[in-house]
Amino acid sequence: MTEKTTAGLVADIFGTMEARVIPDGVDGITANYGYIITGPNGGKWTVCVADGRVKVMEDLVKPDVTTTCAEDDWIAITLGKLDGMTAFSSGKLKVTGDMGLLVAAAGFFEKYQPQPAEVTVADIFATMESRVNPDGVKGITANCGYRITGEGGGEWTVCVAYGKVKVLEGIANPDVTTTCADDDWIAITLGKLDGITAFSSGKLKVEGNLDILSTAARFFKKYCPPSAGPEEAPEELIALKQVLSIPQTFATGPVMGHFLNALKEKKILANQCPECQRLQIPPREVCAECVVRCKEFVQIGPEGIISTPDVAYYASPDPLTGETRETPYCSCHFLLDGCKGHETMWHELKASDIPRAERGVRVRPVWNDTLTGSVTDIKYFEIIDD
Amino acid sequence: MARKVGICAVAQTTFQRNKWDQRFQNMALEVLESLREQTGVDFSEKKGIGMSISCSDDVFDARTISDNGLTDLLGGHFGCEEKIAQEGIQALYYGLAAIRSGHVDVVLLLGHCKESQGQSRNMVTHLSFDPFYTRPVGLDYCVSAGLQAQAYGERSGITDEHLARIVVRAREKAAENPLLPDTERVTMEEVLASKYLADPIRELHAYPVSDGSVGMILAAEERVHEFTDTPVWITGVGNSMDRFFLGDRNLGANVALKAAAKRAYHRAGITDPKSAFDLVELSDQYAYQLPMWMEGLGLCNEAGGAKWVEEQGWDRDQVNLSGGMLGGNPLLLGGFVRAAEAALQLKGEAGTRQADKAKTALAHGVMGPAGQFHSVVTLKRD
Repeated sequence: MTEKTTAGLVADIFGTMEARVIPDGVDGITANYGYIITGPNGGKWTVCVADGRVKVMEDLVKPDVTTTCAEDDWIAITLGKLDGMTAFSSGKLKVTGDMGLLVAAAGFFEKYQPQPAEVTVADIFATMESRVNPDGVKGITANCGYRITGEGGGEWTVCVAYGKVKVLEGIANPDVTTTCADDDWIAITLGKLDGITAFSSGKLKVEGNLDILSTAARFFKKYCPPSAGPEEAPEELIALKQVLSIPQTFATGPVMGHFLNALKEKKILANQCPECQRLQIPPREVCAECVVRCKEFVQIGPEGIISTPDVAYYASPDPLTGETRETPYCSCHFLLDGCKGHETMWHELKASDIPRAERGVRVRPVWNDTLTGSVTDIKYFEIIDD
Repeated sequence: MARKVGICAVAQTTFQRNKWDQRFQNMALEVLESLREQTGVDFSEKKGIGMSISCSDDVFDARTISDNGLTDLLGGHFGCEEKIAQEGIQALYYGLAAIRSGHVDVVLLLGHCKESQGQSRNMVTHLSFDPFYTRPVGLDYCVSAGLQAQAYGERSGITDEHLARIVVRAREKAAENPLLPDTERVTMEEVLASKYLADPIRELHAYPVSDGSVGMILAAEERVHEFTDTPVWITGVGNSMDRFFLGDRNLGANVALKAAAKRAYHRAGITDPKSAFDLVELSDQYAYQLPMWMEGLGLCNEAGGAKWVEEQGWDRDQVNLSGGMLGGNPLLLGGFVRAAEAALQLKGEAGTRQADKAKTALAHGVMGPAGQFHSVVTLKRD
């Protein structure tokens, strides 16, 4: 049944030529163009151009120029998927006789529009093996039976195992069997009818293991009806890839800057609100609650306890390099010595300590060898073993 | 009749080429503390600031939801907080609406921008264009302004000479403004010899890169006197958005500005704008814009911009006594600073740049490529 996609197409291309003549294109041309189209659906035709008219005959009749070409390539050229010149230079298209005549031939006819062929249930099943979605069938072993009723119906079994699919005619040891009318099955396949809706409305009946069917939607790539020539295929739209980046220089200011400088001396600073006495880590210009300037710096820690640990399994990629840090990593709130309540410092816990990451466990910072005045001067906090 | 809204206090930092020793929070704090000192206002639930409106930009600040960097300062935690990502003069409009609606009595406006932070201001404005068409070709606000300058120049007869005179005068005024300490006076020759950025725009025709912060306290009529003896009333506001694609626009015709002005004048009951204002503060990001915006606002004759420059109309009409944007304010705050400067003049607090007996003023802000979005605010003192 796969032949349906091209069967008759070559004959149709030649058969519609007379109706597609462009009068201006053939004006003043007198020549016989012979075509030998090879392949199971090929054949021989002669396109006779004279007096502004075209007559297409089967077989070769006194051709002035003869083009030999495989049927698939001829279809591709006609549908505009393959450039005639490219086909010629790559040897896909061979010409004997007066080659100059062929130059004019490109303007003889209106574009060929393939006739929409009918979608059949048989074709849907026949194309399944070629439409397998490897990710969708991975790890699945099941036989899905299909009983499609109606004139165009039939019975098939889709056997999935070891990442491969085999479609058999008839029902063979099914784990689940779906019964559905031919029209509905076609509508479901073309995405015009939702499978779940069909099931709940009783159009689609299922016996056996329903769970398998829920994975079946991903077994195959989208079914393309045989009629879908390039005109019907959705236009392939362009997605632009751009990296947005503006180099920045961030001033740190006297508050954040002081905090960062202290890290170079392995000191962790908070600043204190003159009104509510709350500590802020990192220090900021004003108290987040009292909106007053916090001038007093207080050294805290460096040891403390885990206040809230969390394990992150996904790290945001660096927008410029696409690289991500190692995961999992432990994002952690620490309550350093000298702090209370919510006066926590956010940083990272050593990855090997993740299994022991619990509230109240004592930790200390591990500093990098080179200190630059960055929050990453603290490599991470680690659990203090007694 | 909705209640009147008064500007109670204005505060600004200096605007400098690179405040390398301050992050934006430091600049904004300076403004906040000045406003609180001037008015005694606090963040208390009943009588304090009922709404905080920040003005910042995600790309300039290099962080999404850029107001988050300022919520400490805005008293925004658990309060009513809003952000303007448009040009900052819009904050006056938001604040006005909040007070007139009766939702709140007292509003804090606080804007900041560090244009020096990114490698190039043009890289930021380049990002305002769409990635499909206008960005790949290479538009930014300066290049767009070049197109507009061509279109306007052709209509108005503005020459390189006119543009140079505008810059010389702007730098002269800016040099007298203590908030613009980095200003250098320039001569006609220097302007005429400065290199082209986007013909006819020369380097000295463009507003300088600067860092700074500006803020205001607005209050409802019945509460204004708790905070000031010299309120400045917002009598009219209007804005108008032109089309985004430059090709859709009549670039030289001031279409959006005329619409914005018409709305503001209507609300303020102004029928003859030429005689309505004692002083004017315009957002002249590029030299050609000063006469162009004057025309658009109906403050000089249509196509009369060149003549207005030749007559040094800026002295008669008291335009940009602050130095204007050509003196150096960030793109994001241009109109906000214009409103602040106009309010200071009406309050009699403009110091060295104080105008005589000014009672009414107009402040203008603009955002987007080639004057896409205009805002007009009219002000009056008692």
